[in-house]
Amino acid sequence: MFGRRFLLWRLASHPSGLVGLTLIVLAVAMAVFADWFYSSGPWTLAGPPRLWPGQDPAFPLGTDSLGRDLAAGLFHGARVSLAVGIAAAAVSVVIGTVVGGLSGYYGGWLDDVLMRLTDAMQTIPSFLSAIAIVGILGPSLSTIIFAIAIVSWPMIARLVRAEFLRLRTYDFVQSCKIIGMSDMRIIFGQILPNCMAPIIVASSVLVATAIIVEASLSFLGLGDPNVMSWGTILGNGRAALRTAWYMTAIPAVALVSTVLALNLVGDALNDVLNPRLKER
Amino acid sequence: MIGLATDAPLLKVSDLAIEYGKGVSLMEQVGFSVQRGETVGLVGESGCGKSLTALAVMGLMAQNLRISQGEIELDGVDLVQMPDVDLRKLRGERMAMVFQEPMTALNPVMTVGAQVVEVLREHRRMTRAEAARRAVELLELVRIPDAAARFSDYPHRLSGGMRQRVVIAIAIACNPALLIADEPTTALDVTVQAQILQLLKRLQRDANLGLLFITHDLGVVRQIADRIVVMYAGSVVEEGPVDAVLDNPRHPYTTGLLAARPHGSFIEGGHRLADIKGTVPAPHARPTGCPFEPRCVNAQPDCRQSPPPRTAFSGDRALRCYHPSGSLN
Amino acid sequence: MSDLKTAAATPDRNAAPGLRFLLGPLPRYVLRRLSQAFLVMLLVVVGSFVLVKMAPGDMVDVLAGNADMTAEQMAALRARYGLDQPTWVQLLRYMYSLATLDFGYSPLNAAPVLDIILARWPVTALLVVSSVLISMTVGTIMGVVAARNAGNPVDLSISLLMLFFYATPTFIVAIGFILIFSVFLGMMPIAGFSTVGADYTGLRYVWDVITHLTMPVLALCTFFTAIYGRIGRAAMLEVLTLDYVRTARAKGLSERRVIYVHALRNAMLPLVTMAGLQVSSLVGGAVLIETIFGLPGMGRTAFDAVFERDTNLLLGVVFVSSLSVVVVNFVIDMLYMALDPRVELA
Repeated sequence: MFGRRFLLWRLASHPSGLVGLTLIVLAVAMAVFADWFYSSGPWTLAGPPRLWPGQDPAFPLGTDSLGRDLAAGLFHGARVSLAVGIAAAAVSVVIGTVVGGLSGYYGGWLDDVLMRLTDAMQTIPSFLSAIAIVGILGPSLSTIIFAIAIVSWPMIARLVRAEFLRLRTYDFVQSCKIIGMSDMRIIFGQILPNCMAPIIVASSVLVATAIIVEASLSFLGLGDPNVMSWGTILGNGRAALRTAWYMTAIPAVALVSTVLALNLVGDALNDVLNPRLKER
Repeated sequence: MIGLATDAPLLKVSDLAIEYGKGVSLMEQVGFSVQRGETVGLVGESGCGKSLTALAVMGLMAQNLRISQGEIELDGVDLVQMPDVDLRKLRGERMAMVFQEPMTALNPVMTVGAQVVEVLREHRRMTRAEAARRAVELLELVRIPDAAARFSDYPHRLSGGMRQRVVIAIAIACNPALLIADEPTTALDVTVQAQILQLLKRLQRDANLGLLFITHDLGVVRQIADRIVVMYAGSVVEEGPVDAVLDNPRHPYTTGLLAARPHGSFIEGGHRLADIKGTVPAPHARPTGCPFEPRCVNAQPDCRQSPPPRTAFSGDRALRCYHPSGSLN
Repeated sequence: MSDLKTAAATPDRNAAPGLRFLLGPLPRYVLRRLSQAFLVMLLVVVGSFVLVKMAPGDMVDVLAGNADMTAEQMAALRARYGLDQPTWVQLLRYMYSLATLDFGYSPLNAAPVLDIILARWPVTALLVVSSVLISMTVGTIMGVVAARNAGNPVDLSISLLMLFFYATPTFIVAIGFILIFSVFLGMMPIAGFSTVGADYTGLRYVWDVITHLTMPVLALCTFFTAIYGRIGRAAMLEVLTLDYVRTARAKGLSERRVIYVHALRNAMLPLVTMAGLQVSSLVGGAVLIETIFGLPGMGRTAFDAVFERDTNLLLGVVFVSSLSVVVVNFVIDMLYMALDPRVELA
């Protein structure tokens, strides 16, 4: 689509946008080509254990304590980390948009109730809640996504509400009401498309946060036991921290650069989509 | 104190030029003076450089602006060359300023009293108690009712008029010789405007202040000022005793201003005056000749050649115009 | 006089700002905050209850997993714990027991949950409070320095550092610290609250605890230092353009006084609001930090409880953590009210 390519182009001409995009493309490429490069998956005991990076050209990033190829783990881990991050962000954007949209559009008691709820959700320690949810319901990809989404939607709700409060007074909304358009069509068909910019910016940060939460859970051993994410590799490497720190450092670098990249793209999107704020 | 005994004017601005960034000239060859006990009204449309002149005198211009030429002398001492540390000691002490927006000019998280006390303790050796007592006196002096009680109020509890009184109290706290008032009544209700104007006039008379009064309201100028300085697009176009200039304006711009005002004041900010066609040119788009030439009713071809020089004439008046209106009496 | 209308409308204008709410009836602001705090706790309780109901199997199933039980024994246990009652009765019972701080019994520790939590609460509180104080101070200074140097290399390097702090998850910072300071440099103890078996007393003990807590506290700090730095920079840049800063300069005040008294006090307001969010987030971060550094706090307790399927203990920790966060947030709101005299109008 032309519009999207145009946005990408503008992002790429923004310095931090370019760095961020490059790193994200790299992470996505790792995820997409994981099976192609490492078709036997991340769990295979591929070689001798505790091989340092560069020691054996067949294992450029070395192997872990059991002899699993760290590069394979990194590629397949990118898949899990990105997928969980994007899915969790998507679910919380949906919840947050519905709550924030209804709250901002209708106002009154509904707004009061929903916003008190949002406030309360923001006060509850979110990572602890995520641990409790995953711990009690049992660790699986879906519970992890659910746990992350349920603790991170309030931010989107506040944002969307603020936008709706601003937009609902605009003429085009008033005229939609006058011609008798239904509330739902005004909310989702008219107002929502006009507040996509801040939602997109917030989403990039949300994906980053979700990736961190998933990695933290997996690091603690609360990840889905059937998949290997970057957090899983980090958690496994921790035991060998004294002697083989590369097992921790390699997934850590991948994680930090992906999170950094998402934040850079978020900043750049903010500049590109809200040119009026740029003068600050 | 330096220069008190001399005959030099209290404030003398001469040949002042201010630039933005690299070489965009905001004002050129601005010159005027304020004597002790004299009120000078500085008038002109938005963007003509009135406020900028005031900020330049106080040394409070934005960082990206630069004085490229000229002098600003207070008591015969040049402020332009003065190091920041010394200039700071004059601010609030020898010269003070009252701003346009009383609603935002006071710090919202400090009590009114503390903000008056602060300036006293900065420039005078005073104990807290002495400064507090003096601050209450000052609040009474600017006619704030129940001043002792207001002392511990936060600004948001006061109305705009009351806040402007507090700003004035801060300005006169250390008995400055020069007071600059930048549109001090513009943001206020009409009735309150008159009160503040009266207050300033009284304070000026009692303390023999030199008052530089910036306004777009010609009615106010006639009420309060002794002399008037008319600015247009970054330069002074006409100056002289207030009655002489307003009764017999020579510069076509002054004439236009007088004709355009609906009820004693011309509308500022709209960039359009009824009897003056066009708008004030942006700083980078000013003509090479007389800045007013594109809008001027008297414009001749020679106006486009070079900016007209300052010509002084009888009655202590001066003008920058090749083809003035009216006549010498 | 029309000028006085605003002033006359507020009778208690002479009260000191911080104590205003103690004189006369509680203002709406305080009442609203209290009801909000109550709502948060209600949400925690209902959420916990729903979570336990959603879980596969109930408490008796877990107990039965540990010891062989007949169906009759299990039914008897269910009756004893009220699990045979209708859901809403169970919820009310649950709310009642939590309201009386009865969190049940922890099979893992063979002790009442409340006793365990009370023993571990101080460690987490110490971690969180020191982190809040340090990150707020450091972040604010960074933000002010960056704002005053806006656009030049100092600002750029601070902003880059902040970005790095912001993007690095807490547990990676912690591992990085261990790697650098304990493994490579051998400077810091790798884990624990104090040296085991050393039995230090007095100042020696305090110093021992400080060396053990330095890395955990700093690891908890980095993310919010970055947040405070970013917000502080933006707030400072905004405040410095405001009229009252110009008024302060026109008074002839020193630049130091203009920045630190006039500008900073106003720029701090959004940072204080952030502190409430930080406490909430650090309580979660404490799970990671206490697990990594082997500290006997509530986070570590939650971690152990998850792996031992000790639901009572886990939910007890969640409840007490949330309660602590709610109390701290209330205190911060009151502090904010003392810092910003305009709040009374809200």
